[in-house]
Amino acid sequence: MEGSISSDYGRDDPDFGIICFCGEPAPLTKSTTQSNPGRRFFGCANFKTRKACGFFCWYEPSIGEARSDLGPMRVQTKTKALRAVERCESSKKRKTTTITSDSGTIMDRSVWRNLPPEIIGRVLSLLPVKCLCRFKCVSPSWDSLISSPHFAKTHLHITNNTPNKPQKTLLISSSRALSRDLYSVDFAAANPTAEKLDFALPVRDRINWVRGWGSCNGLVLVSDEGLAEECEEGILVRDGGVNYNLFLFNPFTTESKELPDSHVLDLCSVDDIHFIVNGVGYDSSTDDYKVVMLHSREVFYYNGISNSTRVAVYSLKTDAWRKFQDLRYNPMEHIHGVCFNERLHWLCQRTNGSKVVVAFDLSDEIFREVHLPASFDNYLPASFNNYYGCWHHFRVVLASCLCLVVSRYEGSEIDVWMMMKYGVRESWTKFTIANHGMPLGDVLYLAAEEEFVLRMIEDIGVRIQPVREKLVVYNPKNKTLRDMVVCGIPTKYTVGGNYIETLVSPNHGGRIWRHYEASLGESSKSY
Amino acid sequence: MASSIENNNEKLTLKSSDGEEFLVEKHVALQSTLLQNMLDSDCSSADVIPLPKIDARTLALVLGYCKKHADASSSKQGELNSFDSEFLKDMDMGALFNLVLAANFMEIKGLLDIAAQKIADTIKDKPHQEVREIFHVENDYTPEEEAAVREENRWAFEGFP
Repeated sequence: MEGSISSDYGRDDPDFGIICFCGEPAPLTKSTTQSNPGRRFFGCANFKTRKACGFFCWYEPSIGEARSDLGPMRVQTKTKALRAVERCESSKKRKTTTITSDSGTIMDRSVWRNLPPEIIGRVLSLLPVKCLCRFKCVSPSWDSLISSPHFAKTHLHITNNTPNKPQKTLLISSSRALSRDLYSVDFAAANPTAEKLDFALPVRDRINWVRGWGSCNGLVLVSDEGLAEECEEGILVRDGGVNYNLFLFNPFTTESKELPDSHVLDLCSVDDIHFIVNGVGYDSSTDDYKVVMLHSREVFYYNGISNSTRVAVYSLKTDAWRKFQDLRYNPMEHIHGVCFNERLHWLCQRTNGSKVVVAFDLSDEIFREVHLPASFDNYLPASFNNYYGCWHHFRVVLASCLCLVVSRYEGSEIDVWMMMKYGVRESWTKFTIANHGMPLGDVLYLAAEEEFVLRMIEDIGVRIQPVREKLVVYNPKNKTLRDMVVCGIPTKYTVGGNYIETLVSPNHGGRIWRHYEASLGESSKSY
Repeated sequence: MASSIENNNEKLTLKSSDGEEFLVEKHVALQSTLLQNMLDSDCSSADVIPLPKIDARTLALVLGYCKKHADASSSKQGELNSFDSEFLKDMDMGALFNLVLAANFMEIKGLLDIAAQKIADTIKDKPHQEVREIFHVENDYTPEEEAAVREENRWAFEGFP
């Protein structure tokens, strides 16, 4: 190694534990050669003396800086960053033995000796999330790899290309008053069980509702709506309006993030009638997750007369909301936006009362209409267009194509409309599920050409307060219904949408992430 | 195997790390992107191609896989799938690691995929301590750190020691 060398860096730090062939601690030195300016290396302590053994190897920093052998691995959270720094310091103390590979680069033993990291990454990306979370305990390098956004993306890509990837359904318990418990069920499992999720919403208000708004790539959107009232000895002293908080949450890794206030409800009072629907989707053109909120102050039930709908769009990357021009449609039903073809879909009503599916393109951020089947407006005659008189229940769901499910209580039938070819009106096809006069509730889980799960109301006599609900499975092939028992399911619940198993974190790529990256950069400089 | 490709009978010589030479038909060798690129460039097929990272035992396995897939390209996919699963059955971890390294080096995507999947399937239900040993990963955690990471991911350890 010829060239001028500045030895001020790390010269007095023999604690790195690298021993040169003379048997002395090799100091960390910064190279000033033209080919490797600023790159650090360990050299023989007796460099430039007659005793020099000629020992030389590059220093490959493992923390904070991109490490060539691990690709884009970063530390994920602040606690992890701190832990990594501590680890680095403790490893100095422990004087880990190091070996020098053929190429002369330094390899400590935490680096895989047998398989190169890209193959380890390839193998790990084939594993389920639960298994990967367990393998974070294998070593700090594995932890960093598994926690990195890059790996989450690779893993997601493989999951999305797996046929019949397992899906879970989010249930929100309403068995007890003010319950905030979330459950997940795999309806496709042989013995489905409702598992309580380890996710605690912060308790802020006395009265609140929790709702699920669907998911995208394993990120579930949950809202918590409360009345911000202040009470003294049970008497209302201040009406603070409505609190509306949204959370993005990965039920598998249990990472969550509270979104900032959209300020959509700022001028509203408790007495206003609100109608808010949300949806979450992924925009591949900007590699960003977006949450779309539609808010109308008067609801459509009053003969279709309503204010226009306010629109706000949140971007996870910028961690901020943007307000959009008001929309001339009003959303129907409290159903989340359904993401398909990178568009979020809601069933809406035009100001004249006719129905339409409105699709928000997550990339160009424009609302477009998706035409409904020609006969669709027959479902709701104008004179029946009143919530209390209407026994129809609509929702947009997703199997392998865009689907509309219409529950017709009075006929005890459910119509399932499937848009076989996206955007082609003529491709809507319908089949009907009938149950000999017994009322069918809503569809909870739908998988194309496979069985799907319906919630059934057992007693039609007392419709306002259904006595009992049960789950049934419908098989479209032989048109049969059978009962389904789910262990541990809450007696009353709402459905928050389906989600898949991923490592995608709501804290990846956003401001928090960049903030930690910056702090890591600083810590590595000072070290 | 009736193929109309010219030079079908042309053969290449591959040399393993331990010096053993293998004579392979060109269409079999073309399963490997690495060899394909070498043949596309100036490399003459008359030369012996050294594969310094692959031992004879592994190379024999790799070439067995390539031959089956080259010859069966027109036959049924199901037959190939059953060959693939049979091919890796009962293979120990050491042999699998060598195979996946060879497939990676020689750029044989199909083999790389099935070997990686096989490794993933094998380690999936193993405790992390055992996985550490399989991959020869030095445990760089202090006991406290490991306990902290484990606590963070407590839910994933149900049913594991």
